[in-house]
Amino acid sequence: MTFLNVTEIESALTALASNYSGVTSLITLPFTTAEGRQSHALRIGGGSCPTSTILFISGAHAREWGGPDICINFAADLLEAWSLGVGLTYGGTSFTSAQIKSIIDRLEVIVFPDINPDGRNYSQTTYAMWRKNRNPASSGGQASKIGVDVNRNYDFLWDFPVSFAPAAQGAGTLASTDPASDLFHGTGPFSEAESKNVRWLFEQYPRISWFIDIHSYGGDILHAWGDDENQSSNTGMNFTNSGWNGQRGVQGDAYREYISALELSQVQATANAMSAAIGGVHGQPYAVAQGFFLPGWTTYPTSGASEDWATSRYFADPTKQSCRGYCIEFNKVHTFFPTWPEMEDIILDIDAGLINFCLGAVSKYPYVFSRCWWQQHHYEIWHKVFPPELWGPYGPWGRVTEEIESAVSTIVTPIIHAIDELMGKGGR
Amino acid sequence: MTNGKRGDAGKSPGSSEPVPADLFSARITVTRESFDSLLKKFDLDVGCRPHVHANSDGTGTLTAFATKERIRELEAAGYKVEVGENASELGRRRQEEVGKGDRFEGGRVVPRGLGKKTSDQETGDRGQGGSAQ
Repeated sequence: MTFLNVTEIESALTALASNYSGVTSLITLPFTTAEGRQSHALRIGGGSCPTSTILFISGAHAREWGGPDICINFAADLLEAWSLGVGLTYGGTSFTSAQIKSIIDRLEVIVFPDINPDGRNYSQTTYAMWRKNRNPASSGGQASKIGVDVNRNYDFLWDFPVSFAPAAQGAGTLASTDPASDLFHGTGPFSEAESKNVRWLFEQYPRISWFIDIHSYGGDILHAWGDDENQSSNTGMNFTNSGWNGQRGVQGDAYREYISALELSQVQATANAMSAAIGGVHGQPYAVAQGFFLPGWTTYPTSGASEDWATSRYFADPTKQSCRGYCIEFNKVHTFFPTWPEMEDIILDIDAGLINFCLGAVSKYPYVFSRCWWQQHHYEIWHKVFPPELWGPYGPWGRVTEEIESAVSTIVTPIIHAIDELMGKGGR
Repeated sequence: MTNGKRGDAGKSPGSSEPVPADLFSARITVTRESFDSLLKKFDLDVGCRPHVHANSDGTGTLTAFATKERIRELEAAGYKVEVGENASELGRRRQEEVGKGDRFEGGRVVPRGLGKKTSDQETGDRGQGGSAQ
């Protein structure tokens, strides 16, 4: 076996969509890359009424080769196990056939394995250490200035010279306005075909509520926020408030980014569960950390990163689906280029984590509450009756309802799961 | 998540495109105080996201990728740098481990994942890994 090239990734998606046509569909992304490539994603499961939608993406950074391979293996494993009616085992982590079935039956999982095919092709055939896409628009004809860092091109505090404190900009981690830099953030948020395609998926599948962007390396699972320390007391101190411009990105100062304590605990619990599943495979769990920090050392503020943007959509516009965004940095060894046998072990680790992540999304929605009418309309009705200022993430009732939902879920969920099991509904 | 720029090492044969100079893995000893200034001053490629190994003496070791010229600049500035493998050369070798052609034949051959497909009895024997969140 070898690393997948860009042609093989596309062929793999086509084959999976064709072979498992009853439970998959091939999604054609509308924005072609600078070199004219059209990307595809695979939609898995969902049925007529999925309880939740998950999006996995990878390949944003060209030299981080293993991401698309992880995604293709994940999809192939999930679909084959489902079709055979069996479970899946990754080293010491196993999943039952009922768990696999519950993912296909009750979730909609979208896998977009190679969002930057131009960059991957260049890295795999020409200059292996290439990171960005291959857009020459800002290069002025100079090869050294080709490309945009796709993971600095999302619309989350993209305009870092305005949004962040000068001290945070000084370290040069946020992004760059220099096309020669590996961190060049483009000419505007979503200026690039690659990030536009990800945004398009969120628009076409508005119920995406779980998101992972797969990168390398380090052995980390990162969660919001990436711009500053988290805080749960001041709802007005947040990325939408331009009054805090020029003050973000520095540890220990006045500004910190708002996230409710309950939401943060749930975000961390999901990441910890994923880490445990990864650790079960070969005994090497990943470190869970807020994106802003380099654990045990210092800070690494970022601007325009995907997991922050995915999380921020609901915070910026509460009429959108809330979404928990993560970034996995696979490979605990500090290299972009493991041998293929080493990569196979990493694939087992991460795919166990991804399956577990999906199961977490299943369990969040007890079967009786996943009736189509209920799930499609209850938020809609709620949103029409009450203004967003009241129930949104920065409003008072948003936090109250979170607490109520958590308390009810703690009591009711085990009972509902037991009923599901008794009725053979394919729950966990 | 890096901020490196590429130094050029000349033109590739038969091509007008400059060949970037090779990048070497460089383990740089830093302190909490010097970390930010290091990134600011030397525009290093720190990978997707920097990782600093905390040392027992309170310093840290940052892995970065740098040209030989940049490494000399770091050393001249007083940084302790341990030069490791040629990351660019490693990448060139790994390019031999990239698929040639199309093993899935345009979609006619279905990929199979690396996970082991197991009966529930086998899964039960091993213990379930899927944990509640």
